[in-house]
Amino acid sequence: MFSFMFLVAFLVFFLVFKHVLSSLISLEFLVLAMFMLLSLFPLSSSMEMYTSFFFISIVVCEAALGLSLVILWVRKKGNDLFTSF
Amino acid sequence: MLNSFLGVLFFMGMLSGVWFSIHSDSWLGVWVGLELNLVCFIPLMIQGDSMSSEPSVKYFLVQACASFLLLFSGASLMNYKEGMKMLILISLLLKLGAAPFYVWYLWVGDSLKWLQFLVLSTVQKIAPLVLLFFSGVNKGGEILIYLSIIMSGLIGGVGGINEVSLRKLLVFSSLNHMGWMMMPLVSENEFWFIYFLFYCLMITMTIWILSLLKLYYLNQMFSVSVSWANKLTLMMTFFSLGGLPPLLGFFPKLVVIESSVGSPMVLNLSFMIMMSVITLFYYLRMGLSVLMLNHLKIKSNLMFFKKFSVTIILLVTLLGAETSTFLFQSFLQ
Repeated sequence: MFSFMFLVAFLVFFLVFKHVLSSLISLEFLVLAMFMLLSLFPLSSSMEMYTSFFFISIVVCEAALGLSLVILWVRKKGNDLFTSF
Repeated sequence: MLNSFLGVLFFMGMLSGVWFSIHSDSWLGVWVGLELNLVCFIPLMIQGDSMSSEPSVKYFLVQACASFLLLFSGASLMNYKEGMKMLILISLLLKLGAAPFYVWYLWVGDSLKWLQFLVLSTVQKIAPLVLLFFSGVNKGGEILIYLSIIMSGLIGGVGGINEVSLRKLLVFSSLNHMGWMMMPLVSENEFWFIYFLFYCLMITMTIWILSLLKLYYLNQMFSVSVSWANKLTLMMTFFSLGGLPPLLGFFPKLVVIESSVGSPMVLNLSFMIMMSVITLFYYLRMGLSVLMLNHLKIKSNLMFFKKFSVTIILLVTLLGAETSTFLFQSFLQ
């Protein structure tokens, strides 16, 4: 069931968007699907949620990096559309 | 940027990400290393280009997507074995920039300065290649890896014919070399790593000269500020990338040919040889117009090499193949 969620998130990620920010949001949807896969499966079977700490902290760093990249994009080009020159 | 503290920090972080990913036991550790690599490479990419973040955003989106695919396929490997092996292979090829997932590499590579391009072509390829070797996908996903080898060779060869941007030419040549590197990798021969080291050396020498002379496009090579000696060394490095004996780049191709001749990979190998002849075509075409036709008359003085590093590059390119046959005798049987 979680792999279906991942597949839908992946599909949403690479459908064509106008804004860069929307692809970052769909990346966060991917992260959510991965989080469920990595931490809720072990929780339901063997009462372990240890690895979710590592996962969440690294994903937050990556999301912050993506957001700062979008800010640089907007400062340079004025909007965050993919097709701007 | 490498002069400053932050530059060194990010570069070391990148290398430690690669190291961590290679040496980890679980797919989570692999993913952590790849993410560390990505996060530390992005500031290095932004720095060189007056804060233009367009190649960085493209690189970031593609690589983040590939990392998540890898983690997902690693996590689901127990339940869906065959499909997930294919998915591991797809995500690693996407991280490498091999065909048929090479378009981001073209876009990103065309917008970077030479130092960042060098790091993108050498360091960022270590982790996916090692993971390809150790993840055992050559049992389950042969069709995709053979397809990738053939397509990389084809696109690397044919795609560079109509290019004037030197960075795009080196991207196509890198694609072709990726195809050659994956051939011993699929046959579980450890020589692919030595081919990779040779390729890193060759492309470092090429990019060193190109960044010394600050050349980014083909027509800049005709200017009067490039002396004939520098042009000769540059052309020698390009010819060694193309695989001409007796230069440095011939030796790894020779060993791959010799080791694949008896195996079922012979048809694959003959196709790759034909495609690397096409890459040699565009290097030779570049060399013909640069070495033989002078757009502006250059008076070549007797003091050939003003920079010592260019002498070293020429020596390594010319003599490297002979010395490396002594070093790597065991692979040549």
